[in-house]
Amino acid sequence: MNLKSRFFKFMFKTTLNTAVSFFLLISAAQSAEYDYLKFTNPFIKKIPIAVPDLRNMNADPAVNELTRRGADRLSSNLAFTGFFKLLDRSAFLTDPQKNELIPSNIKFKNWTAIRAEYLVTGSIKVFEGDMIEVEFRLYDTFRENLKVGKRYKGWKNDLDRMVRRFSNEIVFNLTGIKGIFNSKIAFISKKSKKKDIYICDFDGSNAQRYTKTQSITLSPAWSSDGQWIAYTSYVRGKPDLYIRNIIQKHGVVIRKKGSNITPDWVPGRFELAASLSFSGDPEIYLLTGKGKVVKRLTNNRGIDISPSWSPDGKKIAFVSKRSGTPQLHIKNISSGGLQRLTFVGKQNTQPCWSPKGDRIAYSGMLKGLNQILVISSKGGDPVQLTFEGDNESPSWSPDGNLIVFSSTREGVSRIYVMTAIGTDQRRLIALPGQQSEPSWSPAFSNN
Amino acid sequence: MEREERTLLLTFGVSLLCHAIFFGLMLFWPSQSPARFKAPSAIHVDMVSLPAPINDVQTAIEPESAATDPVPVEAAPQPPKPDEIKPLIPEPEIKIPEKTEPEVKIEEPEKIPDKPPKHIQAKVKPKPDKLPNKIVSLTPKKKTPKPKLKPKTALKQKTQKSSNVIKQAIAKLETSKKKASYDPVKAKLDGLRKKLGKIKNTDTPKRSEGTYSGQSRGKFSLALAGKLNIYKYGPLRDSIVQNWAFNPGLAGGGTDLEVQLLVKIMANGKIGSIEYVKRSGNAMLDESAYRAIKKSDPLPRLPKGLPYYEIVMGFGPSGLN
Amino acid sequence: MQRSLMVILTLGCILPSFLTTVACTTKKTAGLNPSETLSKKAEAAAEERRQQQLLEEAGLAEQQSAIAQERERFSTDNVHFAYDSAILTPIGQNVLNRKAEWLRKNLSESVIIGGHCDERGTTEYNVALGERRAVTAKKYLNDLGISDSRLKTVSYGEEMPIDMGNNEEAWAQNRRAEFNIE
Repeated sequence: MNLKSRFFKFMFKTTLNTAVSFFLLISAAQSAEYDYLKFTNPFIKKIPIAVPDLRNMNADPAVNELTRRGADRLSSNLAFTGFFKLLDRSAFLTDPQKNELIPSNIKFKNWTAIRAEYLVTGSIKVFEGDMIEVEFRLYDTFRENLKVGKRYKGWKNDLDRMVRRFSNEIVFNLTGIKGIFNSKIAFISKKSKKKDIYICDFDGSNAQRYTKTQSITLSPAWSSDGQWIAYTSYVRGKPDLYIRNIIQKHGVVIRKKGSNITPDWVPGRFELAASLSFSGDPEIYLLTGKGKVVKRLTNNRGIDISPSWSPDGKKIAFVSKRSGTPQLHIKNISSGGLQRLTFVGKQNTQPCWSPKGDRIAYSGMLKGLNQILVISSKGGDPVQLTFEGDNESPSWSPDGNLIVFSSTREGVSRIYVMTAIGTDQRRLIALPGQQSEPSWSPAFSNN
Repeated sequence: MEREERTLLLTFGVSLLCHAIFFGLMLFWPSQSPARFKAPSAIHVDMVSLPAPINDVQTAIEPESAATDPVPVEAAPQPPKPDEIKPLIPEPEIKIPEKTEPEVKIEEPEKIPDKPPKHIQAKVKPKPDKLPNKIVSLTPKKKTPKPKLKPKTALKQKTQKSSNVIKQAIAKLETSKKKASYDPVKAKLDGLRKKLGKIKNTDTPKRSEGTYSGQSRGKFSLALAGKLNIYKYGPLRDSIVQNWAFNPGLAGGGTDLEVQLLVKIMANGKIGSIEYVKRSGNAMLDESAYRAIKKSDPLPRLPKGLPYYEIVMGFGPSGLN
Repeated sequence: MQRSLMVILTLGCILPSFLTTVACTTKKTAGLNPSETLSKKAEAAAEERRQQQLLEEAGLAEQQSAIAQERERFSTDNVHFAYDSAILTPIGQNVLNRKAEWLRKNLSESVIIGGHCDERGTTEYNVALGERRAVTAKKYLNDLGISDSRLKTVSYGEEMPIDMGNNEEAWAQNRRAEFNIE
């Protein structure tokens, strides 16, 4: 009986197991199992895009210059991002001036044949002498559809601005991130021992002098609405902090005892953090845009400078020498929690928090030279992005895809730009003298 | 007592028979090899459909007018405003698979500058791409976690386990080879076997890509599995990789992004279907993977003896690492 | 009557002149104009006075230049620092001891201490580091009894190198606290 009952039990279990096995078998069969192949390294690092000359809607051959310029500027804007490969116009199978680029006539095969994945067509019509009407369309040659189209009207010399607008459209449409083509870069240019702030377009063009002091000016910082700029100047003999409206140029000066340096604006607010040393050593304070101290953010004997706000405005990354050497630290403003971020190297300075919030670019001294490095804002291993010459002052583009910085790789210090992963490093500006401390503005929506 | 014993015996006999049949099936079913890749449980293949041609894009031409620089360095003179702006009616001829309602947006007219920007831009000196993997990490890098996948059991092991199965299979293949390279009945059978043959494998050690090969190994001979392996890591991979256009920078330097697509390759290399198995969350990456496969159509012919080949392709830029 | 008056007057003039002539002859200085002799004497005296004056001036100048030298040395002797450091070296302390001495002697003077760095660090960090250097020097002088009100600090970071070179010697020269008399 004992044996029997055990036998029954055994039988029961077996049957159950069988049933369960079958059930498992069936359910396993439902979810497919396949071979797997992983690709990690794209062979084509840039997306091939074709930008033929604009179509000349006037019979006037004088307009040809504009048709070419429109395509040229659009091409250089797209190339600037580092994400696109502009296909050689001489290889195109289609003459833009013949009717093949009329929206209804586009033969996508002509474009996929030359490996274009996207096509930007445009047309330009001059009217009333110096007014123009420009139309742009972005096509997906592969899926054979129109992605975005825009028509612009304005003065003839507005063409570049229209092109910039459509460049923004293209980037936004393809990547979902706002383009940077309306942004500006402020930087310092040094000529015969005098340093002044200059401001240029995102691509280094149109540089104009902003401050006209016979003195030393440092560390320009844009407010997140792009309306204000803060900087340090020695106009009155010592480093004071200036907060000025970009256009009207009015503003305030913070002239506390000691050094008043390294401003950084709180995202979305008319407030900024800066390092002031009136208490005896440099500490970081929160200030209003009118220059009033709101509160002290650091409290430590020794150097605390260079705050950089997280995009949510809740934390600052800053440089502190509290551990003996200048290293990056992160401070949570509300909780007061402090975390040391960098541990490798003896001098890590100039933090700049990425607009996406996930990473922090900074200058780290390696083998006696500063290099640009990037580290996760949660800590971890830094990644070195520059290797040639002395590289300083990283500043993210508003979309977080590019980093502008200064470098001595070609001799004197100049402004360079690269992608956020260190590719496509190139010089942006070469003015007489030396250029340093670039600072990228926010993306202006309308320009 | 007797009856009870008899009933017991009968039950036992029936159960034994059932088991014998079941295990027999298990043992002799040609495609009983332990499964390797299991799609993420959250994703059922049949619930993912082939992406329809993208038509969620803006198909409208939106008129705009140019504006003045809102942040001129020097206070810019206020230039005259441009003339009226009329919305452009989208041209009906624009070929879009599925046309969406064009949305015409008129933006307020804006000011116009009077100075054309001077191009102070210096020469652009693009440097050879410093690839992420060339970048020196200051401290030893952590290995990127590989996608969680089913481990493979070494082919050899399996072969040993069921040597007679293989023998049988080889014999079968040999005969089928003599007949024709493609047998629709066999293909159908293979498909069925494949469906049944997938058995969950319990041990899931981390594996790197490509340690297993061939589809439903039990189905094919060692030779064919080898050929498939060569195909997979040779012509197949090469064609796709050459057509994959993506900038790792567009992934924001993230290392954990991956899009997975299930691709069915027919015997002649034509792509039968592409389905997203897992999206990465980055539209640009998802699109680039789809294009890479589409652009590779047709792929090189499959090794002889395979009616079709289904494979999951994962695309994820190595990013900063 | 008139004539006799004239004669008397003439005699009155001539006689004394004879008398003097006799006296001169006895001293063997005959033949010299008496007025000439007088001017010569005055000249000698003037010369002597001039000599005296020159000597005095020379003495003053010497004294003056010693003071100036001290002053000059005060402003040109810099306090140097190690790389990325604002800590005083023994040499630096010696320099500061001399400065304190001078400041004690020249109670009316006040000073601006400028902090400087070599070019290697980043711009803003160097402003902070330069300030630490200036402040350290100032505190040392305070400890030696120099009033706080006579000492100001300002950091110039890496903006004002004295040696434009790109080597250790140049950098060492540029890492300094500078003293400027207000």
